Amino acid sequence: MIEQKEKQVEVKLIPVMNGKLVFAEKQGGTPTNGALLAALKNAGIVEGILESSFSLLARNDVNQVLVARAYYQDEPPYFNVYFGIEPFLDEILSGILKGKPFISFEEKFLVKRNAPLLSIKEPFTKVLKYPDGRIEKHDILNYNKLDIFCGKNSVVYEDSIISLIDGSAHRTLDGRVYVYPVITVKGVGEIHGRVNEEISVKVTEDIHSHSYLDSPSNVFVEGAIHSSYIKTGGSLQALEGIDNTKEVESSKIVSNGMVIAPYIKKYKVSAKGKVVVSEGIHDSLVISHDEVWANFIANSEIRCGNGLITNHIQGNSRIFIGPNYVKDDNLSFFNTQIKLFEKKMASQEFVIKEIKDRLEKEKQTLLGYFLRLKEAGKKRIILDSSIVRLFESIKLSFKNYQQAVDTYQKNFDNYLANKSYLTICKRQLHKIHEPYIKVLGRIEPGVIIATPVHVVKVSKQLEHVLIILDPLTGRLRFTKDFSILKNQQKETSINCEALVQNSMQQT
Amino acid sequence: MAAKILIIDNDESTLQLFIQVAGALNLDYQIIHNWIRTTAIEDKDNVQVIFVNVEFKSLDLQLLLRQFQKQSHDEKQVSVFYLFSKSFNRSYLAAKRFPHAGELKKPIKAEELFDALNSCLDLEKQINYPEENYRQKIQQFHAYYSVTKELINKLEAYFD
Repeated sequence: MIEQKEKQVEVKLIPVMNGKLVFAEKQGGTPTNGALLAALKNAGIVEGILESSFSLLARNDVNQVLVARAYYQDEPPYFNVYFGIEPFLDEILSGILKGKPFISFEEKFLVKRNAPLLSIKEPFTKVLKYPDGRIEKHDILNYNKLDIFCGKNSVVYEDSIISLIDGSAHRTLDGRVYVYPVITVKGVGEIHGRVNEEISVKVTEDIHSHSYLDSPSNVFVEGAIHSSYIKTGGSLQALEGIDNTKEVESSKIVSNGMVIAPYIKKYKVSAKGKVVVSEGIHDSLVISHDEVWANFIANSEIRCGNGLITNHIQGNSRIFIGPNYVKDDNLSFFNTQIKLFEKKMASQEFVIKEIKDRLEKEKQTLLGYFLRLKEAGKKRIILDSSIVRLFESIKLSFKNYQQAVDTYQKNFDNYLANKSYLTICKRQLHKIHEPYIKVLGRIEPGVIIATPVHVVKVSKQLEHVLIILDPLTGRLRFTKDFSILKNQQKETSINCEALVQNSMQQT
Repeated sequence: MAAKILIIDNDESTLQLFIQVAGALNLDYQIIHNWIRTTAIEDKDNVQVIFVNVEFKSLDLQLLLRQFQKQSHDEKQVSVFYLFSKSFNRSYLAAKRFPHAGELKKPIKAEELFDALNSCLDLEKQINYPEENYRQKIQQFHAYYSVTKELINKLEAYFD
C-alpha cells in the first residue's frame, strides 16, 4: 500500500523489522526534502522521522536511506480528573444545538482542601512508538514522579494529586494542575486598573468596557464581558455574553482553557481549549486549538485546530480548519527544553568523566604510597604533609563528583518532566479524528472554508453536511454520512463515560 | 556488552547503508577500507558480525577467520557474511570453501542486510530508548560513587 502511493513522488518506502524502521529508495530522480516529507505523511509515517538523513538521497552512490525509526519512550500516566466539565461535554453539545442556555459551571471547578484533583488511571509505562503512529505498550515503570504534574497549591498524596486549599482548579494543556483561591467581586471596570493578582475571579455582575483582567486561574462572570482585555490561565465563562459593541481595539480574550458564553459579538477570542457558544458568534475572530461549538456563526472568522460543530454558518464567514492555523507555543517550547537538557547532560557527562579521571589518579597515587609502605615492611604508617594533602584533595574531588552527579540527575529529571509535558500536550492537541466541520443545518453561499492546501467558497446552500480534512491530501471532503465521524469519536465518548463513572465512584 | 559489527569494504554506497543501519540500531561498528595483516581492530572481543568484501585481492580470508575464531565451544562464534559483486569472481569462489553465515550480492538492499543481521543479533534489543540510556548512566555514576565513598571511609581511619 505504501509503495503504490510513493510512485507519484519517485520514492519507494520500505518498512523493515515489522515497520520499526522505514527506508526510502530512489525510483528514478532524486526527491526533494519536501517531496520526501510529503511521501512519509501520505504513508502515515509520523513518528521518529530522521530529516537529517534526507539529503543523503541526493548522492549518486546512495539509493536507500533510513528515514524513520521506532523508539521506546516513557509514556506519562493517564489520569482521572475530579473537576471540570469534561464529563458533561456531550450534554452541553446537545444543549447548544438545541439553543438551550447555559447554567454556570463555576461549581464544577471548585475544590475543597485535601480533595483529590487527579488520580492515576494508567501509570508511567514503557511504550514502543512505531513510525506509523502505532503504540505498543510494554512494562509498567516502577517510578511515580507525580510531583511534575503539581502546579500551585497542589501536592502528591499516594497515587493522587490533592488540593492544599479551597479554591478553583484548572489543568493546563501539559497536564499540570493548579488551584487558586477564589475572590468574588461585584463588577470590574476601568477604574480598577490592571487586575493581575494570583487569584481566581468570580464577578457577580458585568466586566465593563476598558477593563483589564489577567488571572492565572478560572474566571466566571455572571453578567457580560464588554470591550475588555481578559487573560485567563484556566477557563472563562460569561453567563450573559461577550461583546465589543464599542469596538475598542484592545478588546481581546486569551484563555489557556475553555471559553463559554451564550454569544460572542465583535470580539477577538483565542483559546487553547474549546470555545463553546450556546447562541451565536457574530462578526468575531475566534481561534481555538481544540474545537468550536456554536449554535450559529455569522460574518465571523473561525480558526480551529480540531473541529467545528454548528447548526448554521451564515453570511461572509471564513472557516480555517486544521492544526496549521493555530500556532501552539507549548510544543516548540517543550521541544526546545528537551534539547537544552540533552545538551546539558552531554556536557555534564564530560565534567563527571574529568572529575572521575582526576579522582582515579589521586586514588592510585595514594594506594601506591600505601603499597610501597607495605612492601617496605613498615607496620606504622607515617603520614607526611604531602600525603595528608593528597587525601584532602581526594575528598574534595569526591565532593565535586557528588555535586556533578546531582546536577546530572536534576537535568535528567527536568528532561523527563518536559518529555511528559510534551507527550500530554500532543495527546490533547492531536485527537483520534481528523479535523472536521459538522453542520447540522445549512451553510449559506459566500462562506469560505479553507485548509492550507484547499480553499472552497460555497456557491450554493449546503444542508446537513460533514466536511473532513483528508489526512493524505490535506483537501476537504464533503459528505452527508455523519457515521464516519461517530466511528472516529467513539473512543473519546467511552473515555468520558468511564471518567464520569470513576468520578461518581470516588464521590 | 554492546554488539559490534566489522565491515571490510571500500564501496561507498555499501558503507553508507551500513552506517545508517548501525546508527539506527545503536550498533557499534568499525569500517576497514582495506584489510592487511596488521590492521588494528578496537574492542575485538565484542565483534559479533563481520561483513567482508571477499573480492579484495589483499585479503587473506583464512587468516581473518582464524583471528576471530573463538577458542571455546561455549562461546558464540562470530558470524561472517561475504560481500561480492560478481558471482564468477575467483576470490569469491575460493572463499565459498570457508565456513560463513551468508552472502550478500551488491548492490545490497536494506531488507537483505536486516535479514542477515537479524539472523545473528537480537535487533529488538537495539531499538533506541533514550530515557533508559540516561538511567543506566546515572546508575553507573552512583555505583562509582558508592565504591569511592567506601574507600574514603576506610582511609579516614588511617588519617584520623
